[in-house]
Amino acid sequence: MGSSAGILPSEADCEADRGCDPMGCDRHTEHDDIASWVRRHQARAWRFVRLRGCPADLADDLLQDALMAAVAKDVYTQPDERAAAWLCGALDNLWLMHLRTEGRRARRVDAVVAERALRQAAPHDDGSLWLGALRACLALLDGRSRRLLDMHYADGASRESIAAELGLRVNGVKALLRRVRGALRECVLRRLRSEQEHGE
Amino acid sequence: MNRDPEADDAFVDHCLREELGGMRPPDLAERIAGAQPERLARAAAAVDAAAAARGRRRRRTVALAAAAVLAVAATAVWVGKLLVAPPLTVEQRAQALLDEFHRVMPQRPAMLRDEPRRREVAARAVPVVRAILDLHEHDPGERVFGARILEFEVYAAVLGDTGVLDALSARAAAGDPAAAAELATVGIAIGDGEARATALVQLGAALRQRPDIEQSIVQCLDVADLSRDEAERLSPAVSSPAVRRGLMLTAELAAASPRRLLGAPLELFGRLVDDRWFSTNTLHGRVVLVCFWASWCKPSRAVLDELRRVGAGHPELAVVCVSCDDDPAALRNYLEAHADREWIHFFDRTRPGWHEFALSCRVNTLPFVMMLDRQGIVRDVHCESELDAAVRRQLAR
Repeated sequence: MGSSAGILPSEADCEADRGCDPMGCDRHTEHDDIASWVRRHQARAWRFVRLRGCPADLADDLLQDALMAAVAKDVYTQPDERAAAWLCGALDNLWLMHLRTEGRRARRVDAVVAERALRQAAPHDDGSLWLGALRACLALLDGRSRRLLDMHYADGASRESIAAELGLRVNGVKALLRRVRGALRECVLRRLRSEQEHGE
Repeated sequence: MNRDPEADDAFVDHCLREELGGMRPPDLAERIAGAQPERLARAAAAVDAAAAARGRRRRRTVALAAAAVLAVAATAVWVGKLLVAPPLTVEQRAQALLDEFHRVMPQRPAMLRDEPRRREVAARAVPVVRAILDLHEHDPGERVFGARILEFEVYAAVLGDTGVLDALSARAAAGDPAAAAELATVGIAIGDGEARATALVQLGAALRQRPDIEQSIVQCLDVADLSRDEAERLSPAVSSPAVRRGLMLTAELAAASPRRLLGAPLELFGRLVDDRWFSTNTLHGRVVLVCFWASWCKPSRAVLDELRRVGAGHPELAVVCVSCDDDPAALRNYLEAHADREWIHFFDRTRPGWHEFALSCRVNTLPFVMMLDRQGIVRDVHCESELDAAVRRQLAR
């Protein structure tokens, strides 16, 4: 997010915020401004609604509606932090309405936790830094842990079939998944800390 | 910051789904930018409907909760007890103060370099910053401001809060390099010439002792409007390459900003709307408002209306309008309906679009208004949002 680092907008933020809005118009075309604004916000907003438990294909549709509404309502001319918050709110409303229409009540992650997760993991970007660190940590995993993750996340295998293949009890699969995720979390945080200390 | 492991675990789980499950955020930029107005309106209606549905649900929940509270209250009264509403949490109060801070501070912090503007902002902003500092002092564990509280100390000092200035001076005298860095930042922000150069050297020395605060300090330097040369001189004292890049970028952008015209004489030149060439250094000793605008830009038209209102009360003002219109016919129609005959209108019909004079002034955004004194020296820029105050300040000089 453009203005996430400072408590006041920097000159860079003012540059990023340029567009035809109540404050002013610039000499870039509105098309370019909207496209660049969408690129700044789309991944983070998509991750928010995915964190809330929305399936990927539906998340794409809801995100498209929210972004179009933001353009229609001139939200895209507002400061980045406010626009990002508006997008998350709009997506949350769309997702909840979908759940109600479908008669479902299940939510994977509470909205407060989802917001906190994004704030912690992606305070200054759209989550790509965290994802990159996780990718590097995953490359270090091998053997049973890696197989477990591949079966669970890539193949969508049931706990029973994972347990049968890895020689675990069904309850053991859940516990092992939790442990592996915990280890990955620590690895990611270590990497990010180290990158920050070394300046990148 | 105290991390919430549950939130981190949720994000790890999400990233694993994204990475291993092959689900990536879509790139909708071109689709959104090229969407037809009808499609945008449909999406806006869908979002409004979802918000309204949620509002209804909330109201129902509130009504049920209110009924429950009434029942509990009635019971409590019945047993002789009082119910007290829970106070706001520290985080909620801090967030409200942060919102208020953003509301009262100028959009471009570098405006605070100008002493009269600083005084105007201070009147409304110092109480807010003071409340933020008090909240943090009372509850140092709060997480909204956290380590960035020093940025607020710098802003308080820049705005002339003597309490904060005295406290910083005492800490700096006791050998606290963070306080020394904050004081030096304030010195750069409000100082000029020798004092500013000395403060820059002091800031470099303090940052070498406290590299952990360099990011916050560099953020505050937005208010100082550093030149490229000053940023280069400070740069070796900044240990993080990322922060160093941020420092240089801020200086690069500031160098490309019309603020650089401040204090220098400005020759007004360019082709007028009637094709004549115009060039002058002063307009008969009058204070000049130069407004860069375009008839297609709604905020520009509003500023022109405001200029007309302000100008009517001050005959000693001259107004020069620099049109960046693309379409000569649209400009002509607008001027015929709205133009003030006394004003000077720049427009180059042989090269419509961004006017040559606007480019030479590095004006990138419309509307943009600058003020020249009677000697033709640029005294104020970005005064489009506060024309009255800007004119008052200039005429009082």
